Amino acid sequence: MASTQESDEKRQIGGELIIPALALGFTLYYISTVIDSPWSAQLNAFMVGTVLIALVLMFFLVAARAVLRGEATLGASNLLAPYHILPKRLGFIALSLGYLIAIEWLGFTLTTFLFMTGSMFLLGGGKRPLAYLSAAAVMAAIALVVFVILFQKRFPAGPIEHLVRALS
Amino acid sequence: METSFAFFVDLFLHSLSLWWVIIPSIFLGFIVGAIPGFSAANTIIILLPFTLVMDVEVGLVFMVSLYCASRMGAGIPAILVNIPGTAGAAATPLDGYPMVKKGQGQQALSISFTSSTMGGLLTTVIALASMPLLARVGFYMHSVEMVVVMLFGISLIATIASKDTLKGLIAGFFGLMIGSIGADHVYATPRGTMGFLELYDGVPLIPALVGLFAISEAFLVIEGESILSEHSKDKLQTGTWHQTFEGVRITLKRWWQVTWTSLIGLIIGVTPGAGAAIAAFVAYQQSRTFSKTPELYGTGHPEGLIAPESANNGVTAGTLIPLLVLGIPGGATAAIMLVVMQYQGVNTGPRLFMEQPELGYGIFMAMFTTYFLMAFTILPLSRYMSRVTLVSTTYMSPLIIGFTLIGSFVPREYMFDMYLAFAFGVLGYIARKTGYHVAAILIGVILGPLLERYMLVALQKSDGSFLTLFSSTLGNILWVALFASLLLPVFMKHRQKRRETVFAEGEG
Repeated sequence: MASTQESDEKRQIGGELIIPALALGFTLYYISTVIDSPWSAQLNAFMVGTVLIALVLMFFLVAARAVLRGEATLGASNLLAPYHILPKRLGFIALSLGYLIAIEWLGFTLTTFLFMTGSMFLLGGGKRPLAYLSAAAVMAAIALVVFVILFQKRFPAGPIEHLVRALS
Repeated sequence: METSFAFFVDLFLHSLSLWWVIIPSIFLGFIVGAIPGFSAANTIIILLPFTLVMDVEVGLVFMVSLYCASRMGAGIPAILVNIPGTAGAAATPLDGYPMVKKGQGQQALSISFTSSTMGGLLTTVIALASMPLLARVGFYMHSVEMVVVMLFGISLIATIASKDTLKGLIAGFFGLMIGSIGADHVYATPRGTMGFLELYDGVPLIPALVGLFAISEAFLVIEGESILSEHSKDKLQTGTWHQTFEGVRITLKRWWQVTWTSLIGLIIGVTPGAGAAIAAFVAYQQSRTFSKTPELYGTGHPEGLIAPESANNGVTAGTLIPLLVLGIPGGATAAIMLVVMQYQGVNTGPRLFMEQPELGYGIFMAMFTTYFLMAFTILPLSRYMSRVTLVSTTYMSPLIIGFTLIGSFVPREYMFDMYLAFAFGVLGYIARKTGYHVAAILIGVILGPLLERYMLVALQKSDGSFLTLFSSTLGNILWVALFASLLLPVFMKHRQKRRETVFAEGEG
């Protein structure tokens, strides 16, 4: 028990390694795309990229030393905590991604309404269904009027946009 | 016609008589400025058919008023919900949003409106008084000087990094690397585009802005019932007009800061190709450097809000100077104004001020009148607007995600931009949860491509010699100022520490 508490108190740096890892991966990829290019295309890759690689390697060394000395672990609690919100957060992120995928099939207005309603149910725990439905309907209607009808932005069309077009 | 004091008074009174155009334009500009993805430029484009059939004077007053109000409107979501409406407002949430979290939303909005109004009024007066002189600034700012100006903005990364140097620098350089995505400026070689044609023009700013700030914020705030703590909620709910007046008082007390940061905006605005985002970052960085309380920046310090808001409104007057005096549009909105003026047969350049001084000077006077009227129409709204932050996160988070994703689609109408905003949102969420500053990433994304462009031009002119960066007198003065502004805080901190040690030893 005591050892568990001790490991909980250690700094968890697993999450902190994600951004440097992404930065390193992207920089190496970027350099690979300009390796055969003229110097003007390579300028940033070498001016910025080399410094970034050095910084990331330095960060990895500092992190490795902390882990080897037992001052830190590779846990990712700072990224995931608080754990009781985690299912809601993952659900919300999934719904946001779902919104982007569904908008091409169901159209802008209907998808916006469904996304708003679904997210409010998820985050609010379904306590006030009528309020969620009304808020989502008002927001979707405002979005339709402002962006599609008034400013004529070419959002993906669905049944509601087709209906509006047929009526106008 | 003689440009006497009486002439300007007449112009002001004439502009006031156009209140029926200015006030609706203020509210329209205010709304489009606050919606991410919309800007004065694309609203004016949409309304171009109306502008072209209007009387030339009314059309220009409409465009100028809308332009000024949109600049101020962009600060509202940046302060209240951490969503900068435009790149020019990207530095606004650095201190604006922490003020909101402390329950000082009303005061923050009041500070933003007052400093924007003061900055706008002041720079318009300076522009009117010294137009020919300011118009020459553009001639002196070549690629070498612009490289140093960009570095002024980018040096804010080092300031942000001072809290956790390694993480701050990694975030900033990662941003610079992301900003390098796209075809190179000389041979159009695609770099780091991952095969996406949509990235050939570089990373679009709106998806990056809304993703890093707003979407990541929406994923974060669901941890609580509201974005405010209980204490901050009580403070906001019991708020009176006093908070608005307090915001005005705080800003008026810092009139000198408003003056010099708005001048930074004016000078950068006059320079073609520069913009409000650069002005805001440079002003924020310089303001922090010369502040007596730099450690409070980023924690909800009024000075950190005054600097970018004064500067980005200072840009507004600056952008119009090259257009009217030289006939060179300094930005997208100015370019559309040029189209309208040419369509109406109005000459730009020195002839405008000789043949139609009422129109030439009248445009700046309309800008002055707009800022003057905004003080009375917009400032009182701060009390009611700040209540937005009381909305539960159950409603707020889906709204933020929905409207910012829509906002990222609007400028280019690519579905890809919505996915990009989402990707930046996830990146921003990871960064914030693990202690990386998203503002540092954003500074890199915004200023990185500009730095590269000016650097390339400078190097090409000198056959690749880096010594060219130190070849101009103005450039060298700017280099000295840059190093001084970076070293001065270190020196001051060191001196203060030494004094404290001496004092402690004396006490002992």
